[in-house]
Amino acid sequence: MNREIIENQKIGEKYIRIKHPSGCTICLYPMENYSSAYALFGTNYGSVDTTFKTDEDEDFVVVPEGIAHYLEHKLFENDECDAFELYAKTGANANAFTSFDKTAYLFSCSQKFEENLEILLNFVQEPYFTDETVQKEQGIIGQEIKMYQDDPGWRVFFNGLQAVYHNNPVRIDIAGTVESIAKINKELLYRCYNTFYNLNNMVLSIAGNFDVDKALEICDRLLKKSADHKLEKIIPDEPYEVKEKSVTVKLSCAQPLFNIMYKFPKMTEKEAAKAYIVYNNLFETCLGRTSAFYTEMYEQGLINETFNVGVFNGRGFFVGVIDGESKEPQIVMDRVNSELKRLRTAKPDRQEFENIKKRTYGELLASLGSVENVATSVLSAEMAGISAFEYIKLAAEVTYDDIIEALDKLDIDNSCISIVEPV
Amino acid sequence: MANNFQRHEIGKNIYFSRITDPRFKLNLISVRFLAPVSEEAAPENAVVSRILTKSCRKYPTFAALNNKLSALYAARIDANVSKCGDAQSIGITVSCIDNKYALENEKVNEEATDILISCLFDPLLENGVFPEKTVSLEKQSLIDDIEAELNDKRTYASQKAAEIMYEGEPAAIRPLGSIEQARRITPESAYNAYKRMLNNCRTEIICVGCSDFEGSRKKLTEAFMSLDRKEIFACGSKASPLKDTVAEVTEKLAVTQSKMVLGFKTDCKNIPALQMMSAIYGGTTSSKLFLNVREKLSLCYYCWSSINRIKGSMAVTIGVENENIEKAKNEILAQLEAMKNGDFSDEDIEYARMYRRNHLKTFNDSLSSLEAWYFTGIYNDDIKTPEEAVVDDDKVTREQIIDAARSVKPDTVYILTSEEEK
Repeated sequence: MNREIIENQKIGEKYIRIKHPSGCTICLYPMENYSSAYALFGTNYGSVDTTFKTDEDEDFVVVPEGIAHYLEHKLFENDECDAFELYAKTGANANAFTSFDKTAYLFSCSQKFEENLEILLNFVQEPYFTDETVQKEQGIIGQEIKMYQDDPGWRVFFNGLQAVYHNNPVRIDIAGTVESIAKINKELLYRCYNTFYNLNNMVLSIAGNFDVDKALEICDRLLKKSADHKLEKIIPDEPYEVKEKSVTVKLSCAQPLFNIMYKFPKMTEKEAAKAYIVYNNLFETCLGRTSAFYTEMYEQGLINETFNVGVFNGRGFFVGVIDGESKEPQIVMDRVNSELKRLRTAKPDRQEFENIKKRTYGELLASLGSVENVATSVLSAEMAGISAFEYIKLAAEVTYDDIIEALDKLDIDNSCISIVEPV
Repeated sequence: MANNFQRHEIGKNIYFSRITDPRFKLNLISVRFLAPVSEEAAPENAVVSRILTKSCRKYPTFAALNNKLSALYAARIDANVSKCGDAQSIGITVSCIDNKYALENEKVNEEATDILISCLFDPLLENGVFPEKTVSLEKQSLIDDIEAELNDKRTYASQKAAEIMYEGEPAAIRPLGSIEQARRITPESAYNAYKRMLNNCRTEIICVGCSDFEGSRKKLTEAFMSLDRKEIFACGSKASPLKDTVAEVTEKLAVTQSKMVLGFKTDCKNIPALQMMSAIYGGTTSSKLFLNVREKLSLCYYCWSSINRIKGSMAVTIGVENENIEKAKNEILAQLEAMKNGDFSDEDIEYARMYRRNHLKTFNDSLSSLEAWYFTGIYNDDIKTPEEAVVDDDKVTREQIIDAARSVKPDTVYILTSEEEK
């Protein structure tokens, strides 16, 4: 097995990356003096992957919305017991999550690491679905969906994605709908499992306090070799323009919440990594807390402390997001857009940019102090095909000219606003 | 970690604690002022914490302060106002990367401490009080936040339930106070609250990180010495009495999912036993509530129990379909009866122990969790390391867990449900 060392000498951090004979990619990031270890076993499969084919399928298959998340819930059970019961014996804190582009099973522990790793690798590789167990989950997931329906922050964000995208499945709620999950059965779950839980499509990421050799010994023993079945996932073609310019719903909340979103054309993962750093720096410099714009808007009572700028991206999608609460969301959008246009000629403040650059670097460095953040960002980076230190490297390299160019390129009018208003 | 915690008094009722651990890349200094909760002072104190973290004489605008913080590699100064029992903790926290990671050898730790001191002791004033414009903006920002408590229905329901559970006690007051009281704040009343905070509140300074904080200790000691501290407010809490009859309150709101909070009171003094009991009952994914209410009956996505040791209470929270409220309530109470009858296995105890051990040890790996851990210990006059808490858990017996469960009595039922009839 080839042990590749991924290193950033400037900050004195490194981890081991292994392409395991089973097909799985393993990333091991030991952290000295920490009490706990955090492990994620993930598949490059999320809610956006509803259309796919392998070399065993004749044509592309389309499955119901929310199935990746449903599968995540059901994988915890096998014919004898529930993975939670096994973790109960070790005291580990176990969980799982499904995002737009990945699903991961995880545990955090400060004891019995090896037993926990065995539980994790075993249950994720042993699906067991029956009609009864699949049926039972409908009620639980139905309540999860309803919980999010009452969450104004989640709704305003999702409605925004639905306004930005015509076809990209990122516009679909990760958990699906009560109607779409009703169509899920054990055959569909097995089909998705066999397609996406192939080890060639999976990554194991471990950080914190653990023994590298013991971890690898467990991987050698438990990871079952998967043949590469040439998985193809389709993200449908997407028109350049946003689908709708504005969307408003009413919900029980205090004051209107808004998401202003800028649509970006498709880009590669490498391009996206750089654009992520550049546009975060750009939005922060022009509109963030240190900007004259922010102070003016805050003092006029148009925005409050919830105002936030950033980028939301993943496999096949990239949007700039400005969000917050305001009694006048439409005015906020107009002001944001005219400020960005004004700065194309007036130019953003160079010293403020330099400070923002240091801040981005500092935040990324700080995140390396958390076992959970390290394991999670290594998993994400590996799935995006980049090093986990790529962002911190890009953050140290970004220049003022980069953000000037980015501002020129940003299609300010290819944007939309999503608003949630109080009932 | 046991030997790392140090604490001593550096002024009248001003305590300096530090935990130095080389694993961290960051340093955090938190200054907490402890005030008795009152309707009037709660929003005033909250506004003061916001004013102090927005600017100071040296960095007179929010932009200037943030520019300085950005230049210190995303150093942060944050205001955190929370409630612990009948007291309000008004916290100002600064955090930054350690000097050894600075790209241009900046003295980040020292500069961050200086910013903290400037913000605390040298705010921007106008005619001897906070500037009117600043107060009016931060007042509005506070009102926005109080109103926004409605946005998260789960937290909102817990807060409403607490108001009923602790009715008539300071703990019933919301952490940020009420909108009506917030509206009454003036530059003078905010400034007076600031003076009370510095001169009359017990102060806990807690430092966590890889630094030894010697420089910060000297600077902070000197800064706090300038204060005129004569009277110090009492900031203790009392256990909440059990109601004669269970209070039942239903609130209607436009929601898709109903929330229910069942409040209980306990006079159990054996805190480890109470925590173990709650873990077995509803604290983990192998608990009675998770396995029965969620997994067996498919009634919910979440159903958890938690203990408030300061007030002597337990709360069970659940998000549930309207028509299943009664069914869920009956099951939650039936599972509590089972706990009282000792209907749990030695394995359940062992699982809870393992879960708690894991949970407790994980406190060591984050600056903010360690700060919160030691603050809780300090406030309850029960300072111990997470490892010592593990040892205490290990001593808990089955009988003590049953006794803890039997001490738990129903006090409040709060339901948040949709406006339509069932």
